[in-house]
Amino acid sequence: MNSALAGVLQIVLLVAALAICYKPLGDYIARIFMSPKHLRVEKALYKVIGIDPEADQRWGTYARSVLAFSGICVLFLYLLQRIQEYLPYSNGEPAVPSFLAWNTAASFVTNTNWQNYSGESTMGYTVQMAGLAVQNFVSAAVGIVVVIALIRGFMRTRTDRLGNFWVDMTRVIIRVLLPISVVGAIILTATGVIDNFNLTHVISTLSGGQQTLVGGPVASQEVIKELGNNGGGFFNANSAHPFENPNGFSNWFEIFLLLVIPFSLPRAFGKMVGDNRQGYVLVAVMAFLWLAAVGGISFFEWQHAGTALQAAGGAMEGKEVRFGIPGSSLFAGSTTVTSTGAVNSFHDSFTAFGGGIALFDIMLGEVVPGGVGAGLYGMLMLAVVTVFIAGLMVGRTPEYLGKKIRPSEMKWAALYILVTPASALIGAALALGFRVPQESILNPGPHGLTEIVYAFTSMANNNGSAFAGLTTATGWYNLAGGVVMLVARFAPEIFVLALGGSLARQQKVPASAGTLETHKPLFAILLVGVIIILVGLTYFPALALGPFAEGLH
Amino acid sequence: LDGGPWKNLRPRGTGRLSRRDASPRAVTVLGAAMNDLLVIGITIVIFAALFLLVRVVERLER
Repeated sequence: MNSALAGVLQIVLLVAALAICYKPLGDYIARIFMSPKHLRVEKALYKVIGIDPEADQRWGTYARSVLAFSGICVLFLYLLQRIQEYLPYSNGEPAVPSFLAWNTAASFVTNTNWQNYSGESTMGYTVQMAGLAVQNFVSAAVGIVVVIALIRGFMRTRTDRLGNFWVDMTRVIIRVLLPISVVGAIILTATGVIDNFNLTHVISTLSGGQQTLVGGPVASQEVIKELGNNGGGFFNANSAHPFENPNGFSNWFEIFLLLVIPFSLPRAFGKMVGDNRQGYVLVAVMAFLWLAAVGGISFFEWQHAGTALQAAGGAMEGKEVRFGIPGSSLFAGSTTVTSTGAVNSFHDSFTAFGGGIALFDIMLGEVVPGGVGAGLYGMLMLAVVTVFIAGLMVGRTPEYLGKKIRPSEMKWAALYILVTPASALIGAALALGFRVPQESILNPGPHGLTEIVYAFTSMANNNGSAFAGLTTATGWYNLAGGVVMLVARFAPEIFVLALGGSLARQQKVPASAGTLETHKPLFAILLVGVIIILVGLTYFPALALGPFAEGLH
Repeated sequence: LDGGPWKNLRPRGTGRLSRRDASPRAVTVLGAAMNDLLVIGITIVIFAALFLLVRVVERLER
């Protein structure tokens, strides 16, 4: 089949599959969080951890629960890696070095999954399963429960309660992530993804050489890696490895997995606030920007400038032949607009503008559709800013879903928007300003700058994909990256919950003639404009000196 | 050990365990323990700052 036609077909099928799942999955998620009933297994868990499931929390208590839970997760995951050599199924791997173990712990707890290590030669099966995979579930769940708390802020009136963090976490893991993961893992195994406890095999190749093959429980972790928008690969080559992603169908299915929850959450939002049209607007904005990103990357990767590219039919360096340009571009566009960060190709080898779009996708703040939960709360914060700007233009008090957007709400929205780019750009500036981190830059000029900016933007936005070409497995990058990931994950979540609390205390105001209709295409256009202008204003100098300068050279 | 700018840090009061006198194993264990303490300390400081941020935001909204 023609390569371009195959690419279009993949996208069409993907959009169709996501559209089919949008309503049932979104409605199901909404029902989970609106139902007062608890499952038996959930009640048993509440008893074990000693919480009252009927006790709703104020936003501050909710935020403290998020922080306490995540802080303990960091320390537990760190400990697990440090005692790896004493654990069963460690495959003879020694303890993970301290700075690397801490970076990995911060990375997996924040849903970033930035990896300064090679999975198959650093982590034993116990750490992969009891440590990293567990964090893949719970870090994804944290993102979802934070957006649910924010949505309750829009739903509820004259209260300071946003729900119970422990109940929400339990429900999303047991009722959403685990069931889908079981089904998804079986499908992945059927496509050829391995799942075993085999240790290494040494085989003879056709050319007479020897090759060492590593086994492992891959399919069971691959599914949550994509579904939870985590992205941390079992193998160093991530989804380019044939044991993680063996063929075209597994590639398509993995892309579907990483998009399905983020694209269904707007439906849950619409359902919970009692107006499905609000969900349609948000999902339309997300879909438009996602398709633009995929289309843009595909376009630039198909450019045939240069003899090698003409011979290969496009920029094939760093791409798997079995996926080609369409499968690689679709994956790259999807993994960078969500906070997944899994890769099936080498982003560093993309054309300057193709790689630049991948970087721009992350700079969008992971909102189109973004990470599980994190994408929707990011989009809702931007919707609040959009409503505020539109209100300024017509001289009326801005309202969103019957809640007034006053200076206090705008304060939290503005702080939310500032924290992530500040973390990314300060981290990148420090890396460029000191001799030790500078020594890690392998490429001179604009490409080297892009590598640094990409690394810190990816970490700050909890994406985790690496542009590569930058040696980040050093003490400096391990510590600086860990700090950036933790601050840029949890500080924005505090502002999201503060906004939720502020909205929940308000009385709903009825819509009037001056109310901006947020379910209309005009609002969607405004929202797209605000997203792009905000990113442009924040990151333009870095983009101009990096990918633009390289591409126009 | 990871290396990086902290790789040669030596804790206070450990003069008897200088690199010249101590065995390589002892130096490695001590260095690893110091690195453990360092990263656990950083974790505590970051989360303490985040808890403080929650309190500051609560104060500001009153």
